Amino acid sequence: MALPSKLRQLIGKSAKPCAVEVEKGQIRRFAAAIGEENPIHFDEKAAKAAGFLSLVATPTFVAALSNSDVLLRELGVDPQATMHAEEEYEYFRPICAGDVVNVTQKIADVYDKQAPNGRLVFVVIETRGTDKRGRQVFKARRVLVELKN
Amino acid sequence: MAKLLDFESIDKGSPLEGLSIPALTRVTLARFAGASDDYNPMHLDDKVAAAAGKSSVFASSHLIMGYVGRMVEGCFTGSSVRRYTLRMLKLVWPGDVLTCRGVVIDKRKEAGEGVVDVDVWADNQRGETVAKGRVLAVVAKDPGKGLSKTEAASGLVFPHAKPAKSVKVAKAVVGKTKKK
Repeated sequence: MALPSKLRQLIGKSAKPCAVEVEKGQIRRFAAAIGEENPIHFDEKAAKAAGFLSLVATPTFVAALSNSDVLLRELGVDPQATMHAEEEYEYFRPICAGDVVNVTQKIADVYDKQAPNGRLVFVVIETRGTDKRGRQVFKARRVLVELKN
Repeated sequence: MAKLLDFESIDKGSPLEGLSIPALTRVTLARFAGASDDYNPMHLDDKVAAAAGKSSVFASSHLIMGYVGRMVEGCFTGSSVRRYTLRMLKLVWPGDVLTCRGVVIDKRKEAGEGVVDVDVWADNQRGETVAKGRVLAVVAKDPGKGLSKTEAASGLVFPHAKPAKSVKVAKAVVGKTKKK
């Protein structure tokens, strides 16, 4: 029943904080890759006319700022041996080109559940983005299922 | 373009305008891998996917999240999206044709704001739901009026974009061609 202590020890572990400078090209590429066409993600004039300082990112651009593979590898979990079960984004303000987003990431929880073919281990990763003044930009909560351990 | 939503006109059971996604290809997956800087070979390399017991590469869940997010952005133009959650239910394969949909499940006044809860999901061409989730958004209180400054100060607010000149020109050309 009990979760192996090796896994329990992961709770609270964090990645090295990093500052990400959001680039126009990255915003455009991300929007194009999901088939988005709204000019506020591609054309700076359109974005400015809509009240943004520069190109504004699509809602799920947060995914590009919250990759958790590095943290998982550091902790000895193979990212390829996990499946993405759930993702939640909480939005405080839009992300625009030129923004420097300070990203922090930690293992918020590890738990297991009985499934038909054995016990499944779930890892919850929380990523927070803040701006230069320390105001919240986004909070992401990712639930991964470890396939084998 | 989607019309602006408001608290009075929206109600439980109101559907969102759905979004059809053309059939996914391996190029779609590769393009998204580059754009999201996520090179997990499960989405790119059939051999690696086969070694893990899958019939082929499959889409990153973030791509599905992006598609449903597009529908959310389109439908909630002028509103403030505060929260977006998606649960992955089935893998999505090259060749799959997805449709994103949503329906309002609750509306309430919270701290003076008009809040709506919306179920969102994506179905494949076999009618199976591949992902399902929830959006919480704040909409304008009155028809024809936008959000107040306080309401718009939090969350993701995408106003109606005034098309840039280049876009206007393109539209004008299309119009002329049609008239002929």
